[in-house]
Amino acid sequence: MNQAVGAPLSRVDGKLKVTGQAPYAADHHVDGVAYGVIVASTVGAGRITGIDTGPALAQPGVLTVITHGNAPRLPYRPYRNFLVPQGERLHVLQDDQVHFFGQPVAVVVAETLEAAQHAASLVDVAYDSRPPTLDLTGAPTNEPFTYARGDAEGALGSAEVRLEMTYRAARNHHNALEPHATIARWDGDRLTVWDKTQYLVGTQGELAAVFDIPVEAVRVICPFIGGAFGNGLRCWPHTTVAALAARVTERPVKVVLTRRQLYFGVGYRPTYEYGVRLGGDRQGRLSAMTHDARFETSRYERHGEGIQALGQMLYETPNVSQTFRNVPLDVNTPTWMRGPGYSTAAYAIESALDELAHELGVDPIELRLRNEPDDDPASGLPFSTRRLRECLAVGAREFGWHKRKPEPRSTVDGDRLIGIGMAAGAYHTLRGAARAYARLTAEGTALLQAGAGDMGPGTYTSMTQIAADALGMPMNTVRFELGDSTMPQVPPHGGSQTMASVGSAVQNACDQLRQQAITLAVTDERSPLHGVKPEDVIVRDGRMRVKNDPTRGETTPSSPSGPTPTRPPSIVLSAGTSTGPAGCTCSTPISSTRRRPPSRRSPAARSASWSSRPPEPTRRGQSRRGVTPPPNTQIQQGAPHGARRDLAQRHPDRPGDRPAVPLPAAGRGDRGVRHPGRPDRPGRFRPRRAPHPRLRGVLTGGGAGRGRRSHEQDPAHQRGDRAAGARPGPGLPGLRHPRPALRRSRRDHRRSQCLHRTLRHLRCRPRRLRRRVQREARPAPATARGRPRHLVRQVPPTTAPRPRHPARGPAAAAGLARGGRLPDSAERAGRLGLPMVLGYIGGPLSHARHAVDIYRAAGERAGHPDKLRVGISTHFYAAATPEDARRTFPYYHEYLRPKTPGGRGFVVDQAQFDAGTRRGNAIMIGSSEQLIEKILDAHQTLGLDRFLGQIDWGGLPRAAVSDSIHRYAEEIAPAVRATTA
Amino acid sequence: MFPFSCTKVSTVREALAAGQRGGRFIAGGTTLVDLMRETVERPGALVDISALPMRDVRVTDGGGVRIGALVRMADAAVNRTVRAAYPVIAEALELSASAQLRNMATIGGNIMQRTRCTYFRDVSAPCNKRRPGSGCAALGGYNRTHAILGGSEHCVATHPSDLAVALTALEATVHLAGPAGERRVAFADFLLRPGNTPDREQALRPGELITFVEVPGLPRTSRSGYLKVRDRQSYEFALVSAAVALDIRGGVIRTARVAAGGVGTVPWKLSAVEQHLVGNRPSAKLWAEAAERAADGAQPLEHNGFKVDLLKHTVERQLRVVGGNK
Ligand SMILES: Cc1cc2nc3c(=O)[nH]c(=O)nc-3n(C[C@H](O)[C@H](O)[C@H](O)COP(=O)(O)OP(=O)(O)OC[C@H]3O[C@@H](n4cnc5c(N)ncnc54)[C@H](O)[C@@H]3O)c2cc1C
Repeated sequence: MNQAVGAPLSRVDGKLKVTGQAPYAADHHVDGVAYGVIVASTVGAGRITGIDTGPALAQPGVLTVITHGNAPRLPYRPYRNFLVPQGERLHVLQDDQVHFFGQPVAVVVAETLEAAQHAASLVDVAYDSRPPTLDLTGAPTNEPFTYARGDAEGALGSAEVRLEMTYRAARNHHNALEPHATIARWDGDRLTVWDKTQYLVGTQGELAAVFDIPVEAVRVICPFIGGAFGNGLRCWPHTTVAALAARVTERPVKVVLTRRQLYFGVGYRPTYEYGVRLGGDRQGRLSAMTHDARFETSRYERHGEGIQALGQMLYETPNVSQTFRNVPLDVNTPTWMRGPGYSTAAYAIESALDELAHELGVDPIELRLRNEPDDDPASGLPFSTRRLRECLAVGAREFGWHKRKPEPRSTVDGDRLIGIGMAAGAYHTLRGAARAYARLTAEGTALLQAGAGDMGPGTYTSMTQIAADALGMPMNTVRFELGDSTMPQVPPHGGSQTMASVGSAVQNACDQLRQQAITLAVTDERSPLHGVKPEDVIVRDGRMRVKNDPTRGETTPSSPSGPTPTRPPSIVLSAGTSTGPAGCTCSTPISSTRRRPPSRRSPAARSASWSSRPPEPTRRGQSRRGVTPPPNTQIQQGAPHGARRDLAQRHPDRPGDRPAVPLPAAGRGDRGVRHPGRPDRPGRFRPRRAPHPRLRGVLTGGGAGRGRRSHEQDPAHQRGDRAAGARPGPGLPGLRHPRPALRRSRRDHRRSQCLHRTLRHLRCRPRRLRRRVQREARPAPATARGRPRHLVRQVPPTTAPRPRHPARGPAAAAGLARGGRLPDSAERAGRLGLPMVLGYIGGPLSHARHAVDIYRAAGERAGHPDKLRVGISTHFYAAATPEDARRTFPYYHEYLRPKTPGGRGFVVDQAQFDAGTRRGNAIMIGSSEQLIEKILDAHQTLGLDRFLGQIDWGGLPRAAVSDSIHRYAEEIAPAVRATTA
Repeated sequence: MFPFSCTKVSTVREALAAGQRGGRFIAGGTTLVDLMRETVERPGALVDISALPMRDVRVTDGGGVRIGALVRMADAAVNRTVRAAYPVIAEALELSASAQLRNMATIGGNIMQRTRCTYFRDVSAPCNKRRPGSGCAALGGYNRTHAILGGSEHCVATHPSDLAVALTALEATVHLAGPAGERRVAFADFLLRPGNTPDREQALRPGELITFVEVPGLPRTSRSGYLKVRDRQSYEFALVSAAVALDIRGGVIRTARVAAGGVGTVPWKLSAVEQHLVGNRPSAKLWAEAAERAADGAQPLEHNGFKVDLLKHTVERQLRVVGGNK
């Protein structure tokens, strides 16, 4: 029943995001909000001796300045979850100690952000400072974490080969696009925070502990995360500051960290100094490895991360010793970042192995294979999954490893030195206990909830997919909500475990819910499925029916001939589920009444406005389910916070709540749905009347094969609307309407898909691809055998649009497309009796006379004068008047000019353009009359059989292109045919 | 931010009057606003000059080109005359900043932009440029990106503009309008080395306005180009850059104009390199020999010693790119 899972769907939240409507932490509208700006310490260690807040307080709009001197003492109850390091967290604004540069020392709260920022710059803090200790080397350390197996020192002593290396890994700051931000509001003793977090539970627990209030009194809301990379796994001081400021001012307060503050207001991946010693034999088989690493932490907390695992299990090494030392420095506490510890260890171990490979002259991949363990060398247990051999084999094949030259600096590409390397890495698979809530309504929609996060992996979409499949419903009738601590608890949105944990819970909840619905359907006497065995009922497209009898099932009242509608089940079903950690799955259905606390609908619930805007379904359309909503059939028990209103009200957009009428075509067209039959669509044009045998015309979309300009290099693109608006063009229809951005992005998407398809087709790597595409995008040269290369198929439509398929008609299946005017290819074409098309960028039409003469002479000599056909291809634009035609110059100029400094192309000025479009010259841009004249001239000069006009060059507006096509069809082609008949 | 006023002027005369009253010109605002946000600069009054008629690019009688101070970087880079005659300018511009910035930023503002030294931009650090006499945090601090040429004991910050490197190579002139009338300053004299007054960065008198930049004509046979070496490929300032224009006729280098960026406290004209080139025939050996002189007089700091070699290699490569690989 996998219809949604695995299908190439757009993200359900995609539209909200790309239209800027997805509310990130700082975007939530909260009435009466005041703005907090943190003043950060400008010394790295010491004591605050005085703070002058006078000038700041004197600023208009400033509500207060909170410092350790006037801040209420906060309870800071102990709190720990498994992500919080040992030690005691920073008690923010509670004393005069400065532990690190950038520590919050005050917060200014004002009516406006500007007032708060300005006032913050006026807070004058005096310090008694000492030079901070920031260097790992030499600083005293905490008790090390250690591990040992075998006798590493002994084995090293007796090893044939020894290697000792030290690696330094610099700090990494997460720096996600969305800065950390918190809006905090108190309603009596209840605290609501809109926060950027990957772990609602952690933030909720920490705030409850800091303020000594019950956990249930804290609500954390985070529907969207603009990237986090681990940085949102902890509740940081600024969140406490926001809540503190809100309490003091009795106003909701918003605090957004500046980009600068993200370097010290939140954690980071720590600096490491990682010493590796390897011992082994000359074949590269390792006997011993030691790991001695130091890494930074704050003076108040001991940061730890998964630095040990790889040294213990990446390679079969009988003797291992590990010593990892935390070095407390005058810095803020580090935190987890993408593969915390794992990637640092991999960097050190794998670099050392490369050194060893180099020393021994063993291929790096071979060296790894020689040390590949069968079982986990640390535990002796089999690996659940490893597959490193396979991974190396595939990688080596895909990257062309066999072509690698091991000598440094031996592979050169132009001015670049090319190196190919490899490294292995590993990461554990996590799963944590998770719950989900699922509800099915009589309208045929489903609501799923879990307190999960979506920092980019697509949780919204993937959970909707799972639920849709499990419930047998279309995606657009299922809605998944996340990011609220009032929703069922799940593990942190980190460690790559959301799908395994939350996904399992959603699956489980939906399976149960489906069963409940089926049970109801087979037991209810009024149901058409009454009496059917539950296992014989299947659900598809939101409709229950008997497995082997599609006619028996829930009915669709909208079909007039169908049976009379039955009332659908009159009870709303819900289920909760939890799965245990990996290894011991326990499934505990929880009755909805027991699990849900009686609803205390705080005002916060109401203002969580995002939740009343459902993510748009990807594909709009009418629900395939046709059950008319019954008048009133809902009984709800224990629906979660904020979800108690009638779904029909909350989801005015949901297809299920709409009359089942297809959207008017215009509406869809506006959304960019392609209408192949639309008359104004540019594209390949075929005259309705049978083409004249003598002179045929084809208008092609597509360029002379110019490489696509990259956005970075294309100023016209970069200037966007400004440039489009500045283009002169009152005479060109539609000129002032640049395409909406969305259209472009969809087109780009299609392009990139095509690119990938092409990539697969070409079986070459992206770096090469560009070059190859550029090479192949040049005008098609004739092959020796005179067969045209089917470039069109290979070149992705990243150049100007092209016809979908290379023309397969007799003319093009064997024809010569000519770039330059080389007489020998004309001769060959004539000799072989192939049609010849002459491509013009400019110049007099008569230029090609010579080539045509050679062609005809050769054809006659070869004895097939009847086979000869000549065509020309030029840029084409038919305007109402010569003046209008002239207005296309900026497009033409832009189209031809080199897009990179020194790149291919021509700079054409207005005078050249004017000359080129004049009679006798090749550029077919002009009024219909002019063009008729010119085509006939060409016919006369060259004995033309076919005219190819290139219609949509240079990004001409669609309407203009469309008019041009119409003129061609209605005015030019008939006139030319009439004359040449 | 902090409170400030902003007035828009529509004539040069109004601008000069406002400038005399202590107003600070703002053109595209792409760098001044940043500096104000960070409170590195705290002007009380801004004078918006973006409507002044200084936005055209014109060919001069001498066969050179004058670029108005308000011409956007993006527009200057696509200008036909500039592209055809001075690829080095077009390339320097297109390798600068980002597309969005280039659409806003002006030529005048580009030349006037201030250093990207992190200590200059961190108001909690001492900096003689920002607060004269407070000391230089870069000298004893992390100075990987700082200057190896032209520094003083008070300041080692580099000038960040790419365009300025091309203008230095091409020996451009800056045209100014001021309360006392108009004047012109050779580009080499316009940007000042720090010396004892690192806070004085340009030879601009109070209230003076840049009206345009004039680039002398090059022989038609000249070729030129700009190479920018940086920590990442895009949207980054130069670690080292090289602007090269060569006129090679009859197999002999007739004129050579070479300057480097990212290495000096101002864009660095490489006269020794130029002298070594002129009159000689292009060859790989010549490029290498000439480039060997690029770092003459360099005084690297603790973390930027790599720039000495990088500079030589960058210049050599760009000589090869422009002059050919014979
Ligand atoms: C993220 C970022 C990356 C960047 N990367 C690069 C890069 O790689 N290479 C590079 O070269 N540049 C780079 N820049 C700098 C950018 O080019 C400048 O910000 C821009 O050129 C400034 O022009 P503006 O018109 O916006 O100046 P403004 O910000 O308006 O003004 C800057 C200064 O110039 C003065 N000024 C402006 N016009 C005049 C005038 N006519 N007469 C007298 N004084 C005047 C102003 O008073 C002010 O002091 C970068 C900037 C940013 C923000």
